[in-house]
Amino acid sequence: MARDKHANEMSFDPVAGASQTDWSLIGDVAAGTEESERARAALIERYWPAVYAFVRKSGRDVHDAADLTQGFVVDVMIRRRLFEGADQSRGRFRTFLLRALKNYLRERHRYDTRRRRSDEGRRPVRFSEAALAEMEVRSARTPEAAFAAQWSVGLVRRVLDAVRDHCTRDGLESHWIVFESRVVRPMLHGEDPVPYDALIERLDLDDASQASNMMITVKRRFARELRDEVGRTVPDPVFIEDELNALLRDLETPL
Amino acid sequence: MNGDTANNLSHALRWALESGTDPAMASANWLAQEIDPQHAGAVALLADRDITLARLMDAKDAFKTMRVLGETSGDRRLAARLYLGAIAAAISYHGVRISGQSADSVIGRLEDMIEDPDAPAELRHIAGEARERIDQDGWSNMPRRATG
Repeated sequence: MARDKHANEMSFDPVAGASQTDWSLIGDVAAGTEESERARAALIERYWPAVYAFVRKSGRDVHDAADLTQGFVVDVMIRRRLFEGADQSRGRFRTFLLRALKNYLRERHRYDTRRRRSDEGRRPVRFSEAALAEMEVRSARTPEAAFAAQWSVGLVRRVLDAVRDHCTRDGLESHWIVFESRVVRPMLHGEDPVPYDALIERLDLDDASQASNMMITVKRRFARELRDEVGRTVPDPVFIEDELNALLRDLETPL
Repeated sequence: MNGDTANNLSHALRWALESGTDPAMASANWLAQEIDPQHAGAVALLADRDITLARLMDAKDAFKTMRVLGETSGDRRLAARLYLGAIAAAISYHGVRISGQSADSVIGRLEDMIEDPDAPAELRHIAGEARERIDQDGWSNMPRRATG
């Protein structure tokens, strides 16, 4: 992992491939067309943070966790064609990916070659210092919770991106600003919600009831989009509730 | 992402679950939590006999706006019930009118809600109590507080 050497040129795009669903990207990979490598790269960008979070929470230090994540990407996602082996009819992609990761870590532990991964000149994952620092693994109680948290971060960010675009498209920029100020920034950055009085003045609104209803309008869009996004990672929409509850269980797993 | 990652993400995931079960009630509950985060939802807020008059006036205004701006007819119908519920709670708990509507209008709508099988039971109960309080105190003897 050439983290130091490449730190300045590396980047992290949390919404890579956001316009496509997991399963449509996986389908593109499996199709073996000229779009395949682009789709594979998008999937890797989308899911390596969750892989890293699991490995890191499993007790590895930052360098080993990054090394193992890189190894999983190269050895399993690329060489062993992980995405080509995914089958939508057999359950959640998240579960499939986590199972493959656990197998890989057991395998690496068993054979523990201690050699640095050779990626044959390819470096499909661009780890930036900022991205590594941003991922919160300390607060997670278990590796599964860390994986679920990072997976959920990816989901939430893709959905927020889509909702913001839709609000702009529909002329609801002020609605988005209220939602962002009251919900998004507190949720993602731990900031205090902007007081309604400040938003009323800034956006020239009538009163707090108007502002709160604007916020609720976007929150509802967000919830709907989130359900849709989760629906794209399960074999059938009927499993959306199960998947949401499973994510919640993983996030809230007690020690 | 700060140290409350799991907690914050849990909230977002729960919004998706809540909205899937009953989108209209989820929206009303979120509005209620903006008014008073201590309550689990809109009906619980209005059913709290210790709620202040100021909170009830905020709730009335919020649900009045939702009654107009609600995304679906279901939203607007629920908002209308909650709007009336806030007016009823102010009468029942504080003996105060927070609506400029006439006695006939308010009493008629309270009686409709008491008989409305689709209205939440707690709201029907509050409407019944408000109706009794009006009989007891007399409409014209109740002070009126203006809202925005």
